[in-house]
Amino acid sequence: MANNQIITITDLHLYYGKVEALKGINMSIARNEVTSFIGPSGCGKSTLLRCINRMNDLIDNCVVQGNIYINGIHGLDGNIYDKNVDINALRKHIGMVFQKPNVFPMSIYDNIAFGPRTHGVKKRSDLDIIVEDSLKKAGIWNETKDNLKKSAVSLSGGQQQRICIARALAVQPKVLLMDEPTSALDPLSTATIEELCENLKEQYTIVIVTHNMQQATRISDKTAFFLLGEILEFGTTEQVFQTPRNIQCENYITGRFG
Amino acid sequence: MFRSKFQTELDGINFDLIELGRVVNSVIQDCVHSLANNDLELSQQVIEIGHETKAQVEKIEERALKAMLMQQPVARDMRFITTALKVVSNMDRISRQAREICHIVSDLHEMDYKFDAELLKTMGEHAIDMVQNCIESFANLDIDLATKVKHQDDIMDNYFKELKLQMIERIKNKEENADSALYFMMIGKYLEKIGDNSEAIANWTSYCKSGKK
Repeated sequence: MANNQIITITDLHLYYGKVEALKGINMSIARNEVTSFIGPSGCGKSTLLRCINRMNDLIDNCVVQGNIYINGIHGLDGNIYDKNVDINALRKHIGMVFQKPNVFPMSIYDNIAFGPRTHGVKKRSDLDIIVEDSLKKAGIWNETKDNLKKSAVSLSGGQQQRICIARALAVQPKVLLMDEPTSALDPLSTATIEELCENLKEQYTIVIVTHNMQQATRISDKTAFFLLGEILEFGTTEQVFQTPRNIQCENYITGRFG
Repeated sequence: MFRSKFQTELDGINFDLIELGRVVNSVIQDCVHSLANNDLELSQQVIEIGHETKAQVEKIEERALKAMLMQQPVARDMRFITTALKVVSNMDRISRQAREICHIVSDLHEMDYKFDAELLKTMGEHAIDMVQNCIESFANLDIDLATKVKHQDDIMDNYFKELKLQMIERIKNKEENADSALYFMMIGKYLEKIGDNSEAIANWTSYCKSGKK
């Protein structure tokens, strides 16, 4: 595995009962880059995203075959579908942000401190540092520093989503999976999160599912086009959006179908 | 704007460009004939028609910019609209350069100079051929023809180098017609620029089709 590839997926198949949702996915995701997954609804992009931290394990009748190798994350190197993999450690290193902000009904501070506490950080001063650092990285420190005891539920949608990002960052992940993180947000909040992605990729690897083609072009280094459970095109975002090689990809991104 | 409406708009821009290409083609032909035959009336016509192309150019630019704003095109749509904006500008320049040549033809006519530079006629015919080919290559997205235009530009550059030598010689030798050398040089330079703009259209045609210039 090349050193700059943090995730390598080989011959990955996923079945929901008898339905094959992913049909032999092969791809590598580069470290410190933003990779976008695009494609029409039901094509398998969120399913693949969830495979990367084994979220699909929680779904009945879901069977995954194939391998997802992690490279360069201490204690996690190897195939994440091996039997002895510690799922908690996996999800600590590979965090996830969902479509709708899902803050916990507790204070901003406790939302961010929740993960570190679960992983054994008890000292208040350590937690203070983690909370401040995470909120700063998520670009919401200035808005919340004077109201850390305020309920996170009372924040706006855009702020809640950044709290979710801060919460994911608090356990110091290496990879951040984002499943349509801005689809429920207004343009200003969307712009803030997109700018955040640009800043975060210096330290993290980001994989994002998006239905917004302009968002994919704005923020991602690489783009993968999915259709009916397969990746039909994967390349630099510039290449995919300027000179796509696959005609179905071109038809989709230019709005000719989908 | 729905996809079908956008497609109609793209087709419309393409139609307008081909129509402008037809006009520019006719402008360059008349320009070269007015030059070769010292035809003052024809050169005046070129100057007038050339002014009319301005409105066509502005219309295409406006449509292309609006399509970009409304659709934020990608892939082949983006390449087409980018190409349209570039090609319209190159066609506009060819039309302007043809007008400049016709202004010089008028000046030469007033000064009663005899047109005695055969090489300029050859360059003029070559320019007609290049403009025709580049517009045809764009209209049909014909990469082979676009490649031919690129080679034709090398020939045009060589013609211009040869013209320079001839005109320098004419001035050095203080020939009877030495005064006209400066005017012929300017005409030669405009024809060479028309060749450059034709090559640029050919390059953008290649980009439109394949993403590579």
